[in-house]
Amino acid sequence: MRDFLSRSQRKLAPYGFVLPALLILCSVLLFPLGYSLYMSLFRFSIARPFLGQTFVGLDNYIMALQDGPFLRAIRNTLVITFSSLTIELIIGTGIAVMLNSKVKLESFYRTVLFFPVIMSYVVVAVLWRIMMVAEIGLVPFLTSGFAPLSNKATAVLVVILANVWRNIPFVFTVVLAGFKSLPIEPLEAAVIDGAEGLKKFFNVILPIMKPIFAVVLIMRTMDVFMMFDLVYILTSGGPQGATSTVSTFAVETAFQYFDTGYASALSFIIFGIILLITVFYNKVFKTNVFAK
Amino acid sequence: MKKTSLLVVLLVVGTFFLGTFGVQAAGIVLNVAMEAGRMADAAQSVVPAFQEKYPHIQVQIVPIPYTQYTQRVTTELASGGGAYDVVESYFLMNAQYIPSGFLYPLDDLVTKYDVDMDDFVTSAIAPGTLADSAAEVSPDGQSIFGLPYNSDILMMCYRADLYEKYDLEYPADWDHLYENMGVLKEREGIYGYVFSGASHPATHLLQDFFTVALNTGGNLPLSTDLEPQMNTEGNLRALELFIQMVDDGFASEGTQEYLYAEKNTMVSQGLAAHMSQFMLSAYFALEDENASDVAGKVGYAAVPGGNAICGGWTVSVVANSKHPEEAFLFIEFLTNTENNARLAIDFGNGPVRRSTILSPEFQEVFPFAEELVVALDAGQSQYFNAPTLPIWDRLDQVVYSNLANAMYGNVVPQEALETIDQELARTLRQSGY
Repeated sequence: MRDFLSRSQRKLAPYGFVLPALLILCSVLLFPLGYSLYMSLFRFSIARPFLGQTFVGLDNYIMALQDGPFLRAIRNTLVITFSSLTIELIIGTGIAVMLNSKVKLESFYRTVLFFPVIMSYVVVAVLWRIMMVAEIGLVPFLTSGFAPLSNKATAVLVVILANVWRNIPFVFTVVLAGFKSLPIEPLEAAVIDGAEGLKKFFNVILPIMKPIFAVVLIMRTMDVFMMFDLVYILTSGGPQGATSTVSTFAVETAFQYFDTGYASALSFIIFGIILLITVFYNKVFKTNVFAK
Repeated sequence: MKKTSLLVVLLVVGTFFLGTFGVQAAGIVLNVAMEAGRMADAAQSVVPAFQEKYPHIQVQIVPIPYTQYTQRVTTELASGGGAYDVVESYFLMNAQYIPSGFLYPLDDLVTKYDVDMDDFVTSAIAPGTLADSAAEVSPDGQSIFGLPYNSDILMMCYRADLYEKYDLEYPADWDHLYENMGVLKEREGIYGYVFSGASHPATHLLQDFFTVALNTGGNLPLSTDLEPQMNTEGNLRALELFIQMVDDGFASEGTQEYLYAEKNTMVSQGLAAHMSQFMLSAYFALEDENASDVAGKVGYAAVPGGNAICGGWTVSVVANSKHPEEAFLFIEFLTNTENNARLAIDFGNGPVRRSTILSPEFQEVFPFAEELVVALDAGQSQYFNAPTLPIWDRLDQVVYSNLANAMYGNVVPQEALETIDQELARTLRQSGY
């Protein structure tokens, strides 16, 4: 290469290599993002282009922060997210510990327990709806008429449980992989120092596993925030908005009501919330998972 | 090595030429967007006969799940990508598509191919012509943008066997129906009525509510000059009737989560005695001996009072289709008398032609045919007073969410109706009306 390129060409060459990737990145990521940000400043609908496009500045953002159903959707999403994550982490870590302790038939359990995560959210939602729907579902039948989807509190609980059931395999798989790749030296040192059982788990293993848990938390938080199919098919956000989430709200706004400008603003608010939570996780775990 | 390279080059070039020119050699290809399930299956079934009649035209039905249908078709039409030549659509979609210029005007083709528009029942033709108002909003002043494909009208499905057992008369009004619900609840222990009271876009609450309201002296949500008018005595009476049904246990608490198909399930499992439902699909669900416990036990009639809400889908040619005339030939074929009858009988597609419904072939299968044609001609939609308004999806949301709030005890009915009028006025104002 040195033989063929002049000094200035050699300086420019790396930029040339990066340029194609940069162009692709701009066209598929940055341009849509920028355009969406631009659209969020307008009142506009792709289904009603004849009504025109009106510049409204930050009105869409202000409207969103005063929009009762959207604020309720944020609250519901936070409840569903943190309840689901708590349960998933406790059960998922428990299963990972169990499978890591040389249990017999480990691969069989791992396969069976992994099963829910290979099902699409649509299938999971349909299954849970069939089980729960009032009068004609399995649960109402077994409980002489209790209708969990008709009650605001239990409907939220059903969404959380369905979400947990679907995603525990992801959590235990990642945590189990973390356990399997733990360095031996600190564990042996801990044993020599007299750490056993829970003491070893909480004081040695968990601190080493912090980056793994941070990754799980960040990925699952983003996943639950973006979860649409499960809620839409299972409850459609009902009863009376009790299970409406930011995703179902934004998708309905964008593709049911076709308020394109407002939906763009909603998506940036959701992005902001996820970003805040991610920064919070990084602070709490005192680790930048993307850097390691 | 050289031979392998040559082979690869030949393969790539060959594939390119086949892909590019192979389709042209086979003729014109029409892509037809249809809601997955009954309507797409029905359309698919006519494709072989159509291709036999027009060998130079190939038709590909693209089934799209209901939950994604509006999203995918609307974004495709808005982008002008040309993925579809024909789409099916309903009232709300057409109120947006026609003024946006997304659909191809069919007036000239209807004349050229002598399509008998008078044969279509009134409520079935309404979505494709925006109840005769399309010319006011279409970019070129034309008036026909779709041919009716599937009609929908709410009629009453009731347990005729129990009516006979307890010597009940089919009611002429909703108070009488309420009495009958009480009798059946008390003696049979089953719910008197099932409706969809869910508060989200997939709900059938509006159809269920207005079918009652139009028969208790109530009215549609907007007047013809776009004044909100929900807060009326008739609408209040209807809303109170729904609340009373829930409070008295005549309707299950589950009504607030039921969707369209789950209403059918409640009746087919013998858990509820009445429902207003879109007729043919209900008939198919309830009379299916493999899936229904009440097959042969259900009566079908116009709802008490006779005024019912209609729905319905039209098939339209997309404005930027490269083959609009061929696309028209397909939708004309799909909706002609012969196919209309066959799709109704084989698939439960709602009939759209008078000649179909009144034919001996149809009447032999569906005993309620004569009542059906009357109901379809008289059917209304909540949009009828302002058919060209393109923001009905937002207005619908205002109405159903507040009605559900009242039905399940969050607000008193009068307050809900007042709120609806205020929110309708605000939404209209914000949209420049």
